[in-house]
Amino acid sequence: MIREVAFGQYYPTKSVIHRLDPRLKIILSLAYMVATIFLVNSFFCYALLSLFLLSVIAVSKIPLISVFKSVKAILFLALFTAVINIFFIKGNAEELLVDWWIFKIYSSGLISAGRMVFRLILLVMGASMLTLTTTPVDLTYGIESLLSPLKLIKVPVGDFALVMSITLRFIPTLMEETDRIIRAQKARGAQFDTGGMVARAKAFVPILVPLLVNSFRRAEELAMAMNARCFEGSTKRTRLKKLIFLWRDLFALLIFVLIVGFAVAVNYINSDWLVNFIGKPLFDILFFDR
Amino acid sequence: MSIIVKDLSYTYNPKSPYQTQALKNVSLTIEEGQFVGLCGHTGSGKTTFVQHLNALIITQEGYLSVNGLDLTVKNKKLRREMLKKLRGKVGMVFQYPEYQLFANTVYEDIAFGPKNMKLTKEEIDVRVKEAIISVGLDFDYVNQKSPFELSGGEKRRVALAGVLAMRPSVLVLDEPTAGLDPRGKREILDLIVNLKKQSGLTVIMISHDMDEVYEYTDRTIVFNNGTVEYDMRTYELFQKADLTKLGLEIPQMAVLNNILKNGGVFLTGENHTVKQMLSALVQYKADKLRKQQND
Amino acid sequence: MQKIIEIKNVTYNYKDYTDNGTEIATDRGVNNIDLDVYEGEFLALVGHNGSGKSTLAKLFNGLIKPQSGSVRVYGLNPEIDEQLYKIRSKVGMVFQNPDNQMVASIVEDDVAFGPENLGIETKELRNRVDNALKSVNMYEYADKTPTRLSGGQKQRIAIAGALAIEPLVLVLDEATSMLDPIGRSEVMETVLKLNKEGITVIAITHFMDEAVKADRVVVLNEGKIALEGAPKEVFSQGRLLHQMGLDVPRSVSLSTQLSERGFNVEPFTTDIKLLGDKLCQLLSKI
Repeated sequence: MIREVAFGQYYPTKSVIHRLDPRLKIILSLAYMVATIFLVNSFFCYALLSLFLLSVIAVSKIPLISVFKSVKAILFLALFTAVINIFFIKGNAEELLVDWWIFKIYSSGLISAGRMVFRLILLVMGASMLTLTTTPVDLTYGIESLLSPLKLIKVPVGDFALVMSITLRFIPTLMEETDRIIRAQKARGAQFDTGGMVARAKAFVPILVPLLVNSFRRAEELAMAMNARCFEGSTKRTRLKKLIFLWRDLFALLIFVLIVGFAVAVNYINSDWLVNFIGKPLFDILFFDR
Repeated sequence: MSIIVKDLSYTYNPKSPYQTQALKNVSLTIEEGQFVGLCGHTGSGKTTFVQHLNALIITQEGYLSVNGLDLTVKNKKLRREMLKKLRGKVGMVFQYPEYQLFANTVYEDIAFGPKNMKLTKEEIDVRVKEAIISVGLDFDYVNQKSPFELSGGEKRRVALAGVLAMRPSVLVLDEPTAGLDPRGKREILDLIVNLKKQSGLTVIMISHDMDEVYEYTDRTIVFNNGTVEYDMRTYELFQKADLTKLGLEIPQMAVLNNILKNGGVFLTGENHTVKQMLSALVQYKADKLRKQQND
Repeated sequence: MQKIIEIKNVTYNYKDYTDNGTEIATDRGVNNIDLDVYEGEFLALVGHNGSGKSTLAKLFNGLIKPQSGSVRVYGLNPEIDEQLYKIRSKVGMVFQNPDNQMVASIVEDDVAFGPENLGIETKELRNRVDNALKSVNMYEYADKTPTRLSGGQKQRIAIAGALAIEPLVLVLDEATSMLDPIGRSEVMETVLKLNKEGITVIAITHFMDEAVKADRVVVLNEGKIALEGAPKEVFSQGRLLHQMGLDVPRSVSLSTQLSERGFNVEPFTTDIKLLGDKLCQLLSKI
């Protein structure tokens, strides 16, 4: 039975992370993603970023397993990336580790593969922290608020947000309806899992047609109800909830800037200067891939 | 030929935080040709129960057989055979069934079930015609019409015909009169009573309207928290059981029957409808007056 | 009492289309209707499906405009745009399907939708939403998602959504027809309470036990007003109502028919217990 879907996989716990301003969370998640993909390039920095991510997860009280589940979706992509990197990156002769039949594996290939996979995992886990700790409704509020400057150039941000909100509202209703229709047609002997491609596609007509017809009916009734409640477009609407940037948000921002900023900075600091500062042996360990 | 249920239990989303037990050790037998009312508030388990009857829900625990067919078989091959034999035997009319119509014409929509049963073209033709007539629609008028052009009441009849065309021996109806006006309600219920008379159909009807249950059914099963709270002859149930604590209304005629009995007015027969009650009262008065004159 | 809604000689007919798209006029809808609604009353509009009662409901707050005749709500004309929106802020509506009138996935956000459209400021908005939810007894559900609530609860939220606009009139367009008995009585109780507090209520229904509670009943048939009056007067016309596809509450029907047959009972008894006691008294005396 299709029960309620965990849309955006929101994971309800009572944590500070959950209560942060959604706008801040959206921006910081984006910043984190940009940092992992474009700005950071050594394992030391990745370690810093993962440590940061792990502490965020700990504070959010979400079981690590639930966060890891999001990685499952990109597992294939990660493996594919790793294989490409391992087999197709060619390094110097002294980096050659395996030479068997047509396969030549270099250490630089391994390092590059590791880096790519690490990057992907961090990226996905970071992004999923946003949806795990923010309700879809708050996300909508956040996006609307962030896009509101676009109102100045006549982009209908309010309408866009309303559409998102209504979509979120109707997803569970339509899921339930789909479920009911499937059952009704099954009770009339419909089969959805036999026959060839064409037969299977055809089997969905008795589900899709009523679903569409009912959706139009719903849409019509909704439009009527919205009109009855004085809806005249989103231009002059006020909102019940105003997002307020609190001290805790500022605090979170500071921590983020300090840690992620440090990781990015370290990545760009001149190697010679670093060697002078922490000594050659430590540098070789921390920045072996530089 | 009957429905036998023994210790049927069912849990949604087992072993998850959303786990809810919908049925707990339900045991009952429904004989052929009965008109059974199923009552109970939302979430009492009645819908889960009826969905077991045509294997829409796979039994988790307990025994269930329909017309001698064991619905609990787990073996894949045996199960497929069972489903084949069961197909069409238990007709299921969902709530607001008109929202499940899909075909271009009424004919095609009603033919959907028989087609899935792999019947011949001629047989399908016979059944569709028969079904349309049995729900009181004019075959020539609706046959090639789009079901979406019909009125609400007509659509519901077409949906009902779509199930009847499979010639079920058990008909399960989930609130068949919901959303209809009084005339529409009466028409649908009278139609079901007629069908039952003609073909010896077993009818199981979920309903929230206790007056309706009192007027039309022989037997009433009341579900509460996944168990069968009451299972009695309808007339007796509303005489004996205190249903208000389950959030069910007492049918008006049942209230009157009880008051009259307690007040020493013993009418002849069981009076379920206003019409029956009226004639019983008139007769009672006349009898009493006659007796008085004789004394 | 003051007239607040005046409907004069109004016709609104739906159109049909042939297969090639030409319009065909029909008489479905309402035809040459006259109706006044008075301040503070509880008016029930009954009629079988397709009798025109929902069409009439939509005329009350300008969701449809009369094709001929005139509608005035507090003197305002729905055919003039600026006045139309004023009408809508005075006449709140609740529709049949609780799922199809909610715009937000949080209860309080949904209730806020109306006043948000009116441009009410945040602080006042908060007050309105809280008060509306309290008056339908759903305040503790403010931050819940409506999908998991019962039908009766959803309809009470829909009523709160209308109340948050602070209307003077509440129109219920078959608002209880998809609910179970518990849900129906929840909604009816709420509406009766609001009516007592001064809101004019117009309830479109085919449940006669609801219409019995009204101050005035208007029966529609084939787009015309067939009967009008106090419930007592209207329901005494049992046969006529039956012909129009309507039912009289069972106790009313029985008591009326009994009194016709020479029983000394009140012909319009809505309470079956009262009727039962009276019958016991009568019959044991013989």
